[in-house]
Parts: sequence; structure tokens; C-alpha cells
Amino acid sequence: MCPRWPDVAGWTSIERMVVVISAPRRRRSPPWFGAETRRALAAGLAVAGLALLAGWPYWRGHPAAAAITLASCAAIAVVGVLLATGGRTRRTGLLFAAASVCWAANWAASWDATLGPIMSPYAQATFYLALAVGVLLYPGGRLEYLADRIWTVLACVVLWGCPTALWVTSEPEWAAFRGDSVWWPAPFPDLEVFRTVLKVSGGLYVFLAVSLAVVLLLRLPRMGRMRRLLILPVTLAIGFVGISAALTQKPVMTTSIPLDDLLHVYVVQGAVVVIVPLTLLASGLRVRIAELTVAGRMLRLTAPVSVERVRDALRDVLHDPTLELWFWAPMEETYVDTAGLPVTLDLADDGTGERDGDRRRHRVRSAAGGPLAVVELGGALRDHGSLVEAALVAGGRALETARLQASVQAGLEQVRAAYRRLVRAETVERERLARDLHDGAQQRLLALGAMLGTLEAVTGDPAVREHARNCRGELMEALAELRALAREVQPALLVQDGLGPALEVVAERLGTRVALDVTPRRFSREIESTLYSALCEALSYAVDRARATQVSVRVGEKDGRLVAEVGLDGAAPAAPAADLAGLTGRIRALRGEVEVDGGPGTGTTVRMDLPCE
Amino acid sequence: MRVAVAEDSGIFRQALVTLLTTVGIEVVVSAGSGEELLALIAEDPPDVAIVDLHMPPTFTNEGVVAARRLLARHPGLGVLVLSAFNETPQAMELFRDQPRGVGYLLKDHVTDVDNLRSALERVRSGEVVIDPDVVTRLVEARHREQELARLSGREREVLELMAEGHSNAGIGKRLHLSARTVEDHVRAIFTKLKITSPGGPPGPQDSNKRVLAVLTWLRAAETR
Repeated sequence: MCPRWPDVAGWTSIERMVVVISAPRRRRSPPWFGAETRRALAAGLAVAGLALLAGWPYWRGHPAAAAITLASCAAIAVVGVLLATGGRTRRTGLLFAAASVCWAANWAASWDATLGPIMSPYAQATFYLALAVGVLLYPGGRLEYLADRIWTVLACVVLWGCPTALWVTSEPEWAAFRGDSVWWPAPFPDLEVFRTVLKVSGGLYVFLAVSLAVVLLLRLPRMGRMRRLLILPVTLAIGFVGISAALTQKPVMTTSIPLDDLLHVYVVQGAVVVIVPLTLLASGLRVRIAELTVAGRMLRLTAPVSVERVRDALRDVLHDPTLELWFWAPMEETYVDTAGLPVTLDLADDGTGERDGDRRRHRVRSAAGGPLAVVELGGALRDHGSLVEAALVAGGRALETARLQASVQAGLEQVRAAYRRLVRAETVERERLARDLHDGAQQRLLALGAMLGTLEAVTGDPAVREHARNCRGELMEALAELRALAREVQPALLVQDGLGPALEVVAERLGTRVALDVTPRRFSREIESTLYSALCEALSYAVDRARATQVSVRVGEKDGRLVAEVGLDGAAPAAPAADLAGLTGRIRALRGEVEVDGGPGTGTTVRMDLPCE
Repeated sequence: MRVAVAEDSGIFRQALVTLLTTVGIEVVVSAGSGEELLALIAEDPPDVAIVDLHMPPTFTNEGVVAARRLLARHPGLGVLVLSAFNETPQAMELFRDQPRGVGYLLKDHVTDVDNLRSALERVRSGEVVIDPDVVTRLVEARHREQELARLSGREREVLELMAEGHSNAGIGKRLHLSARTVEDHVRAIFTKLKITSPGGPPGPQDSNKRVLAVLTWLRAAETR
């Protein structure tokens, strides 16, 4: 976990990133030659020109050194301006651009006149300072760790203090400058003190180089995997540059060396330094390549498209297994999860917000500008805004398709909910009807039967008795029919004792051997009622259509799903699915599934599987 | 004989009371629920209580609950549970652990005076009564079983009467057989069907215990 740091411009801009998925804009020039590239090249040329002017006296005799140095200055300037256009690398870029100007200014020493010699050591020091702090700021745009900050302060003191000590304690000749017009105040010239200053400065430079390497190494283990990959090459480069600069500086830290020797060391240092911007460029390219390949990977991973697949593809390409995705369902005006269930997301007005810890939510908009989805990312991705954007842009079409799918899912969910309400209402109605039949009509008929029985008992007339007995017989037939009807509507036993006992009664009436294995667990009314009628249908199908002689019914619960299996020895007639269409519809209304398996000689299995909360 | 009636349907209760009174059976208490019946007979229990299976509040198994409480509170009292539906699991629940002086009769058969009187008398004398329809259906559900096929026609008749709760004497009377012959048949049935029960082999003489064993055997086929 990274420590929080006061808000800076780059930080905020990434956090507020809103991805707009739209058709690519048309460009007239090639995409790599945009305004940024042109500006960078112009800056490079300007700095090269400045260096040419500053080092002219030396360049006349050393054309190869001139080519190397001008190219190095230009390269640092170009990379600096390019980096300055990125949100978070802006500070690094500005520092690099400043460093390139300093390096150019450093060559003013070659004129050996007026202000050039006294400015040169400051320019050199500031060049290294800007370069080192620029790398420390990369790529987060801030000095994240205490060691970074301490080193920066220390470097400022040393790198600006040593040049000052130089001119305070020496005559210009001692410091390799012999021109007549050289401005060199030299308030306390003392050769012995000057020698000490040179020795101490040389030692401090080596110390700074080594401590920078340590500071950089200390940062590595604290970074996320993606960030470390990005920083490692730059770290190695700046470490190498720092130490080589300190070591090449050492030989010239003696008194009265020739100016050409000093300038020769500058050439070597400038040539070595160029690897820093080049590695940064390589890291940038690497990021760009990752962003470009993300598109291809997203396309591969999301075909054929589904909500889950889009989410999993994003998790994969962004290396974030905790990534979450919610889709906007326009009909319902709410976000839904990958299963199509509505969720409530509390989003800030700008569509972003910090969650627990470092997690962030981004609102994704469609081509038309309407809400499309919300993506929640882990904090490790905050430095990879453009990678996230590239992934979301690449998955844009898939997201839109998936959105359609999600809204269809949501619609289907609504239909199912309505069907479920219908089933529930029907269950209640059935119960009421069954009770009416039982308490009303049936009791009345039974009372009539008892009255006829009374008549039979009291009458002395055999004809009347016979007649009453016949009436009673008829009445019992009517009662049996009424009961069959009531049983079909809703067996009282199902409500009281559940599926097992109710099915036992059904099995008894069937006239075929039925082996029952039914869980004693109770489920909601509509599930029991639906499954009961489905099983009744399957059983009567087994006997009437498949002519089964052995039937087994197994009902059990597994992982939150109720599984019912009817196995029968009879071979299914041509189209069992068509015969069981009513059953299938009822089970599907409760988000269940029905499978019918079997063939001649193997018997038939009807398998029903529905969620039971 | 003195009986008490608990039945929630007013019209059927009235018809039943009239029927009982007409044939000379004294109805001492007529209640609308099991609770009410328990309260009314607390002081002076009758010979037999007639209880409806489906009564308020749930209309499911109040009769069974009431029967258990009546038997627990008044040992020696006979209880006849009436049901409008032929529901084996409810009946089995009734006979689960106290097969003595309990009966399960379908309301259809109550309308037949002789049937009713016979059931009341058997329950009063401590016998178990199970409606013939319940037994018939159980036997029919298993009519293809090999074990049942091994029984002779006469043995099948004896089995059904045994399941209905009749004693050897009762069976002999109905089938016009001597007690000795009935006993032979019963033994043969038990051997052929390999009927056993957890409490050891049920003696052919103890009709109340053997009715449970026979019913369990018949029913086990459904669920095993």
C-alpha cells in the first residue's frame, strides 16, 4: 500500500479519468507525428542550437565531440518535452527539458571569457540534479518515499554548494580558466584550501552517486509488479550514469588542469547520460505496446461475447483479479451485475469515487454518451490510466454488446419475476379453491350421506331402505369425483407434510412400483407446488406414454439447487420433450432447467433442476 | 355407548350426531375443535371420541394431534379419527407408537351405520381399526410384487383383514373360518412375506402390533 500524498495536478487528472468510447477521430498527419512530436522536435533543435553556440570554440577543433554532444542534448530535450505532455510524467519531462538546457549552457565554459566559466559548474550540477530528481519523480509524478526527499535536499546542498566553494577559494587559472575577460570574484583564494575543496567535492559526488543508487534500489520492492517492470531499466541507467559521472569527474578535480581536458570529460559525460532518456523512451514504448496489444487480447478474450467474458477479459489484461463490472440496464434505469440482478451503486456526480482502500470506480459511457457500465479497479492500476483506457476502448464494442445482453437478461429476469408472482398467486388460489371444495361442497355431500344413513336406519320400509342405500352409493361416486378434482387442484398433504408424503399418495394411486427418495426439507410454496405438479406430470407420462413398470423418483438439494430426477424403465416415445412441454414451462418459470435423456432399451430419465434460494 | 364428537363442519357434525342418536348411541359432547373436545370431556370421559382429521387452524393433521392428547390423558378411551381423504401418511402417523384403541375411518364409510357402529365398538374394546380402502390401495399398489403373488387368494383376504386391524376371531367370523385355520393362514403369510419388526417377530396373536408390522411392510415398498 502506498502512502497518501497531498494532491497534485497529475494525480487528480488520472483519478477523474472518464473513458468515452467513440469512433476514432480522423487525422491528417500520421498518428505518431502529432502536435506533441512536432513540439518535441522543435525543442530538441533549439537546445542543440544553444549547445552549438555555447561550445563553439571547442567544436571547431572537435567535430565528433560536437556531434555526440549536440545529439545527446537534443535527445534529452525531445524526451523531456514528450514526457511533459503526459499527465503524471509532466514533472519528469519538465526537469529533463531543463537538464538539456543546463547541459547546453555548461558548454559556455569553452569560451573561457566573461560569465561562461563561473556559470558552467552550476549548469553541470543542475543538469545532474534535474536528471536524478526527474527519474525519482518517474512515473508517479511525486517523491513518494522519505528517502527520495532526503536525497533530493542533500543533492541540492552538495551540487550547488561545491561550485560555490570552487570560485570562493580559487583563482580562475587554478580552475582551468585562463582567459582575460573571465569574471571570477575569488574573494578568498588559497591554494591549500582549494585543494581540500576539490578533494571533498570529489568525495561528495561519489557519495551522491552511490546513495542515489541505494535510494533507487530501496524503492523497487515497495512497488507493484507493473510499475516495477516500468522503472527497473531507468533505475539501472541512472545508477550507471551517476556513478560513471562521479568517477569521470574525479580526475579533473585537481588544480590547474588544461581546459581541453575538462571539456573532454564533459563530452564523455554527455555521451553516457544519453542512455537515461533512451531507456525512458524504451519504457514508454513498452507501455504503448502493452496498450496496443491489449486491444488484440481483449478482442480474442471476449469472443463470443458475454457479460462474464468481458469482465474476465478485463481482469486478465489488466492483471486485476478483483476487477468488478456492472452494466447499465436502460429499461430499468439501474446498474445490474453479471447475473442480471439489479445493484445499487453510490457514485459521485462525476462518476468516480474511491472505495475501501485504494479501489476506484470508473463510469464508462457509450458512443452516444449514455451510461454503459461501471468498472471497479484495484489501486495498483492507478498509474496505468492509459492502459485501462486502452483496454476499455478495445473492449468497447464487446461492452456494448454485453450491455444489450445484460439488458435482455434483466428483461428476462422481470418476465420471470412476473411469472413467479403468477405462480405464487396461482398457488394461493389453488389452496383457497381446495379448501372451498373440502369445507363447502364435500362436507355438504357427506352430511347428505349421513342423513341418508339415518333414513336407512329408521325406516321400516325395505323399499325406502333400498332406495336410500342406492342414493348413498351414487353420492359416494360423486364424492370420489369431487375429491379427484380437489386433489388435482391442491393436495392438502403437500402443504402439511411436503413433497415426500404428497408424492407417496400419488405413487400409491399410480398402480406401478415407484421407489421414492425425497428429501424431508421444506421449500417455498411455489417451488413445492410447481415441482409437485411437474412430478405428477412426469409420473403420469411414465405410466401412460412410456408404459414404465419401474419408476424411481429422487428429490434432493445440492448447492442451493433443488434437483428432481424421475427414472423409468420404459423407452420414451418419439418426442418426450414435446410430451413434457407443460412441465418444462413451469420449471423454467422458476429459473430451472429440464433435461430428458434416454433411448430404446435404456429407459428414460427426466431431470429437473431449479434454484431453491 | 357414549361418544363425543369433534368436527368443525357444522352441517356434517349435525348429520353425524343425528345418525348416532338415531341408532341408539348417546352423544354426550359435540365440539367444533379438538381443543374444545378436550376441555369438555375432561371431567367425564365418554367411551369413544370421534375426531375429524382436518380442523382449524391449519386443516391438516389436527385430528392426529387431538387423538394423541386424548389417548395420553384418558387411557382406555377409544378414538376414531375421520378423514375425508385417503391419506396413508396421516394414518401411519396416527398408529405410529400406540396402536391400541385407535381407528382411522374415511368419512364415506361413516354414512353406513353398520360400518360406523362396528368401528366404534372395536375401538372401544381396544382394537385397531384401519379403513379397508387404505389397506386395499396399499395392497393394490403392490399387486405386482413377487412376495404378494406367492399368497393364495384366501391368504390375501386374511392379510387385508389383518391390516384393517381385525383380530383372529374377527377374521374367522368374517371369512367363516375356525380360529385354528386363521392362525395357520396368518403364520403362512408372515413366513411368505418375511415380515419382521424391530421389536422381534410380531406374534400372530397380538393383532394390534401385527397390524403395524403389516402396514409397515406394505408401505415400505413405496419408499424403499
